[in-house]
Amino acid sequence: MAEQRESSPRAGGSPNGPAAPRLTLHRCENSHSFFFPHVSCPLCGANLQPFDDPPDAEIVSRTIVRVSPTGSPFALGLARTASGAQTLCIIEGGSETDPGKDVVITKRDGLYYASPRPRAV
Amino acid sequence: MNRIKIKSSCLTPIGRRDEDLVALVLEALRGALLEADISRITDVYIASYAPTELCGLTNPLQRLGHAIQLEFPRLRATFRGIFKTGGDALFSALETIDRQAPDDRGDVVVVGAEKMTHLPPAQVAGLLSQRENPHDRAYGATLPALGALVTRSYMAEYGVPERALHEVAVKNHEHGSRNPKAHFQNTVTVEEVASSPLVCDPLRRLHCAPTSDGAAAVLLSPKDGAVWYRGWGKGTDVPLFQERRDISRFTATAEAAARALERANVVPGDVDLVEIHDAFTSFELINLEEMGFFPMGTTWKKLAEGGLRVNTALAVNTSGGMKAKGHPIGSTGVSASVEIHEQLTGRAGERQHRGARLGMIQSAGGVSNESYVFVIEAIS
Repeated sequence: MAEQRESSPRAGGSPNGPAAPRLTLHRCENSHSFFFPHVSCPLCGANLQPFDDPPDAEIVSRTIVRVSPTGSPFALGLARTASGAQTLCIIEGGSETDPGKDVVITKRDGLYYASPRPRAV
Repeated sequence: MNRIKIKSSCLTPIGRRDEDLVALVLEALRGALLEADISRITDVYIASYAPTELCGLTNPLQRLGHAIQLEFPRLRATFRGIFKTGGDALFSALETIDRQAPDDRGDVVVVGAEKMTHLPPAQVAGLLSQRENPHDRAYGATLPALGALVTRSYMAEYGVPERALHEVAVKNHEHGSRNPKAHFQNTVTVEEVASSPLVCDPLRRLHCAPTSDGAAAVLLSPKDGAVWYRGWGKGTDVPLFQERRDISRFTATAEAAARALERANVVPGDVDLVEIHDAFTSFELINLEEMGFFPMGTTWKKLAEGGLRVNTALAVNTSGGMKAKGHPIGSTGVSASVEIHEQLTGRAGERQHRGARLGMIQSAGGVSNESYVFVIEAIS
C-alpha cells in the first residue's frame, strides 16, 4: 500500500496550516501512477518505482452508501492525484467534496480519507 | 460445419424459492435433459458464485456432482467447476469444445444456480463482500457502492439524465411482466422508480437487481440443435476498480464484444435482440454502448423514443433482465442463453420478438471486472 511520510514537507492544504504529509506512490517509466505497490504496471507492464506525491487530489466520483454492511451511512469516493494515481477514499465533508472539487488525502488506520482542501487565509 | 449448438435448455422459476441449492440445480438439469441421451454427455460445467458463503457447502463441486450423479445414474461425465458466474462457465465450455477434434465432441451441460433469499439482504451483502477483493472490502465498497461511483461518473461525463435510469427499470419490468418465470412480474412507473429509496446515490432500490433464487441449464451438442454459438469473447479490466483510467467505461465489455463479433463475422446492426448485464440500470446503457450498438452516452435517447423494447429494431432484455427476471448470480449468464434460445426458436410466448434470428448475450462479473459476450444464431 502507499504510505505517507509524516516528516515530508507540505505540498497541499493551507499555507498557514500544519503540514500535510506527502504520499508515497508508485510510478512506471511511462508515468502511470498507482497507490497500490504492484510488482509491475497494470497498464503497460513496466516496473514500478516509489515516488513522493503531494496529498492534493480531485474527487472523480462520490456516493453516499446508505445500505452498508455496518448499517451506518458513509460517503465513499474515488480521488485522483495530479500524477493520475487514483484511490478509493472515505469522504469527510459535504458539497465541498463533490466531484471536481479539490481535496487533501490523508491515511489513517490503513484507509485513505479525503477532506476539503483548506482555503488560504 | 463444426457448430456448437444448443440442443435444449431450462430456466427454473426465479424468485423466492423454498428449495435448496442442490434441488434448484437438479430442477434445471431435469428440464434441460428431458429428452437427452445421458450417455452422450461428457462434461458438466457448474457455476455458483458463493455456495460456501451463502449455503454452507464446503465442497460444492463434490456435493453437487454427487447429487447430479444420483439423479442421473447413467451419467459418466467429468464435473468441472465451480465457476463463479454462468458466463464464465459457458465461455470455458465453448473454448474447450472448440479445441476438440470434431469426432471427439460429446454433449456438454452448463448449469448455473444460486440460493440467496433464505438470508436477510444485509447478511447476503456481507457474505458476498467476502468474495470482493480485500482492498475494496476495507472501504465498505459493496457492489452497489462501486456501481454508484460508475453511474455518477457516466452521467456527468455524457450528460445522461437521472430519468434514463428510471426508464430502463420501467422497460425491463414491462418485459418481466410477460415472463412467467421472472422474479418480478409487475410493471413499474417512472414515478415509482424515482421515489424508491436510495441505496447508494444516485442508485435507488428500483435501479438495482434483486437477490433471487434459481437455476438455469443448457445442453450443448455438436449434433442437434436449432441455434448455435456463432461467436464468443472475453474481456478483462485492471485488477483494482480504483485503477481504471475512466470509471465511466466498461473496457472489458468492449473487448469481449469486439472479439465475439469478429469471430461471428457480424456487426451490431445485424443483431435482433440482446440479453445484457443490468445489475444496475445504468449498466445496461453502458454495456450496450461498449458493445457498439450506440455511441457513448446516447442510448437513453433511443429508450426515451420507445426503442429497446420487444418488436422494435433492437430488443434489449426481453426476459426482464436481471432487474425484473431476477439475479441468482451464478445462473445469470446461463439463463440469458435460455432466453435467447427460446426467442430464436419462437417459444418466448407473450414476449416473443418477431423475426428474431440473431441474438447476443453480455454477462459480467463484479463491476465489469471481466465480461463475456456470446453471439447466438438460429439455424435456418
